[in-house]
Amino acid sequence: MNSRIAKLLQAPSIILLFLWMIVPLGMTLYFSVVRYNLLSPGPLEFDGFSNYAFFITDSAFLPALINTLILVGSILIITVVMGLALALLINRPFFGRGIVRVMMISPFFIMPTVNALIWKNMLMNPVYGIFSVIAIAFGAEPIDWLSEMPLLSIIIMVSWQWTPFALLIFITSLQSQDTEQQEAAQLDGASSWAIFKYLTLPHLARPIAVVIMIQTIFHLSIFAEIFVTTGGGPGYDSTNLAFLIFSQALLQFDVGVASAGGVIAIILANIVAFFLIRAVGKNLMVQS
Amino acid sequence: MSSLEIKKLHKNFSNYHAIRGVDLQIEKGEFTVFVGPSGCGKSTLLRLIAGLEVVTSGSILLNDQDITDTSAAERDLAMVFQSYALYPHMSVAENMSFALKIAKVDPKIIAEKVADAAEILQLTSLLDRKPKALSGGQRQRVAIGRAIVRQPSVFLFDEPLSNLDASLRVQMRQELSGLHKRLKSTMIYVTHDQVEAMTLADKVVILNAGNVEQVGTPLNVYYNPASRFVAEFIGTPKMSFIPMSDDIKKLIANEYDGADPRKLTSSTWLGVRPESVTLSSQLLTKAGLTGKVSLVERLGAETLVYIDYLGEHKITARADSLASIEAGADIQFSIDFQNVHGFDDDGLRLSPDVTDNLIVGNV
Amino acid sequence: MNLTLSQRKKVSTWSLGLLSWIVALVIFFPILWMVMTSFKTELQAISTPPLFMWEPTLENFSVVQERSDYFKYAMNSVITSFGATFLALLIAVPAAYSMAFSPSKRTKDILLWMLSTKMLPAVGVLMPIYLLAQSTGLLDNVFSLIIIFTMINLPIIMWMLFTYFKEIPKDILEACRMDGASTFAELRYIVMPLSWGGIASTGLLSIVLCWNEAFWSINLTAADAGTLTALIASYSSPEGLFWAKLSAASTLACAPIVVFGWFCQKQLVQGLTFGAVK
Ligand SMILES: Nc1ncnc2c1ncn2[C@@H]1O[C@H](COP(=O)(O)OP(=O)(O)O)[C@@H](O)[C@H]1O
Ligand SMILES: [Mg+2]
Repeated sequence: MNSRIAKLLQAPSIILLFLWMIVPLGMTLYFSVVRYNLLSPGPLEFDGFSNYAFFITDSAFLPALINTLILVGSILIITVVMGLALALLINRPFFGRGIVRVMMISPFFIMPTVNALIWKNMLMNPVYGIFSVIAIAFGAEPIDWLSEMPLLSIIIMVSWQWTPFALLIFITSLQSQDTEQQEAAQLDGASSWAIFKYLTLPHLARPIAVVIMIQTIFHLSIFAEIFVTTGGGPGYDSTNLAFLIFSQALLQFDVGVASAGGVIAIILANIVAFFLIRAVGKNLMVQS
Repeated sequence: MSSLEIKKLHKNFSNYHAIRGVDLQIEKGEFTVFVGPSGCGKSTLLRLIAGLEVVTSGSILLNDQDITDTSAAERDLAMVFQSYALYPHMSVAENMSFALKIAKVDPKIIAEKVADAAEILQLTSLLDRKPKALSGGQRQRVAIGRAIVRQPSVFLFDEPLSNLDASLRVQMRQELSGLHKRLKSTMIYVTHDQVEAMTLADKVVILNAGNVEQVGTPLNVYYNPASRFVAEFIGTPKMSFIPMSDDIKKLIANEYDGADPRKLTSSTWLGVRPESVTLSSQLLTKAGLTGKVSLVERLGAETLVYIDYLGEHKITARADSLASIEAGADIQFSIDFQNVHGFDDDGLRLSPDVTDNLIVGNV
Repeated sequence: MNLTLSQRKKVSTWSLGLLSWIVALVIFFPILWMVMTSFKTELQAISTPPLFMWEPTLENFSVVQERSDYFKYAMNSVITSFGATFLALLIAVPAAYSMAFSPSKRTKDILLWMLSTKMLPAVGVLMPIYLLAQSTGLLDNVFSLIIIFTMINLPIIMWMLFTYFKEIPKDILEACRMDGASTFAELRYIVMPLSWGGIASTGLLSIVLCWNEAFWSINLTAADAGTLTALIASYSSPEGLFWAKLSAASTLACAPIVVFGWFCQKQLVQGLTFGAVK
């Protein structure tokens, strides 16, 4: 294949993605420096950085930023550790492994809105929820999860959904692991822990990088779970940046401030992306 | 059957000059072997001929037609890869018939040709298997079969035997040689193994760092290496090199009554093959040179003796299977100066061809 | 206990198996509970202690269908996920193929750049897209949703396909070229059959991600182009107290993709490597 054909084949995806990136980005940048509220129509006036100032000094900004980071960080840790543990647990054949695997990966196919509703109503509800039933059965005080621990509740929901994704990828990788190597290590007297640490974990380094990379992309903008359950509250306790901007834009109709928030979210995402791609991205590409 | 001509061929990879001006003529029906150390550009040269790499400058002619800019698919050449490169999702028969199917050959004819090739290569019972279910040797045969059915103008082989174990390699080597006699096609074969080169080739092309170092029949390059590089590369055990010294000059003068028809005394290095070294077990005979045995390798049929001469220079000699030679002993030996070569500082040969020995090689 | 090695192995396999079953049931329980609740009456749904045995009713499903045209939303979900996946594959297959087999110095940077566009948070560009859709009359339109789903999944699809194509040995393609095959024949007879599994699992993942996409469907659609995610979101507040009906709607919304996922899970388990398996 000559390089002209190669360019031709690559052009559509590159151009489309570029447009998809640059057009809205340009518009967002523009909106972020004008006064633009859908409720008070009029000519768009240049407004300097006051939208930014408004957004950043908003008392919700700092909590939202911190919540975003907490969400991403804790969900990553939980899903990777749980995914790893589950993958190791079902790595060897046992009775009904196929069914067990199907059950374990099912949450990944559940849509986030449904996920949120199941947890909100049927599991975490302080009166009728299964958790409170269990708590009462053990003589404990039932917890109103969504108002007492809103962020933790969100973390649990999202982790439940994404652990299967990590599991899927780890299991695939484990099944490609060289058993001869492990047997040799066993003959050398290595303990199970040593085999895990020195053989399995390095083997899983790339899949772990993949899981972290993809999940970060998705978790930076968790939305549906918050939208459906806590609505960002109580107060701003479960508001992340995505939800804050959403509420500025579609609840308060302030396009200018929402756009300034969007730019900040983009900057934040790029900071994370920069470190992430430096840490794992390059490593993902070396193989070729 | 076709002839191939390569003119002033150059290939640059982004920062590496892999082929540096190769001129070469390959005749109809000839079995040509490109040989040289790993990284010298053999595969690159073959892939340029195949059309898998783009030529930087120079030209390639097939039957006097310029094919330099013809795509690989249209060159009508067949290639056997080191990795075999079988199509994993196709059966043996499908693998062998793929090229004909692409060329829209009548299915009946395809079936006949595949059956013939399978017969020649003893693959008939394996035709329905997938490559995964074959042994290394069988895969190798399928790869060759894939080339045979096409009856291409030239067969190209890139180290086809190097993934096989030693005994299978010898067997396949002989089969390939038989195949060439039978098909009488033009074949170009790349290897780093000089034994394969010697046994298979009508014409050996020795490559060194992107240059053709020497072209000739196997025996010609063995007896008359153009340079120290060729001399070292061809022949096992390797040719030994000893520096010119007054002692040796004296011996040469003795041998030729003061004349120097082989221009040995003006060279800096003498290249001596093991068969030109005679060991004298008795210290009494006037063998001429003395060294210390550093290693004795008993191969069964013969014994290889490595001698330290003047301290650091190793000379390899052959001895009888049961010769009573021990490492560490002093040893006397003589050199047959009729059959040695002299090389200058740049590694070029000064001595004239050793013609007497080439009666066999001239066939 | 004095057990032989093989007995000890048996015990450990057995107990690990049991543990796996328990864990799997715990993980699966929320889904199971949702399906069970969808067959209860509203009263049974909120009874304490929870009911595990009852006479199932189909009433909720018919109510859901009456109130909101389930099939219309389901159709929208099917059209958008399959449409976007098809479109994305159509663009991505040739691009990833040429990146894998005729890479330039910039190929890796391009791929990383593509992934980084995925890092652009959707909220950051919500307003412009919303206003663009509004001004072109494409708000609440299936077509615009397909375009958006295509774009948001394209980077991941490109990356997955690239890694699959990379795994095809170069030699095989060269052999194919030596056999006289054109670029098209090479794609048709060699590349496609060999990467079929990879393309399939890429498509599967894309369909799942589209089906479950919530942000854009909630914010850009209403009655016309609403997908099942949007439907469920709309149920969340007014119907918040009618758990049985909510569960019925949820079950209906998830069932297609979950069953689809079950059927394809082998494919996913083998294919979801992102080049991470050597
Ligand atoms: N695609 C390539 N890009 C850059 N350098 C290459 C490429 N292919 C081969 N080379 C370099 O060209 C030289 C000759 O390679 P090759 O022809 O494969 O050697 P060999 O004689 O072992 O077959 C080597 O130094 C190799 O590193
Ligand atoms: Mg080579």
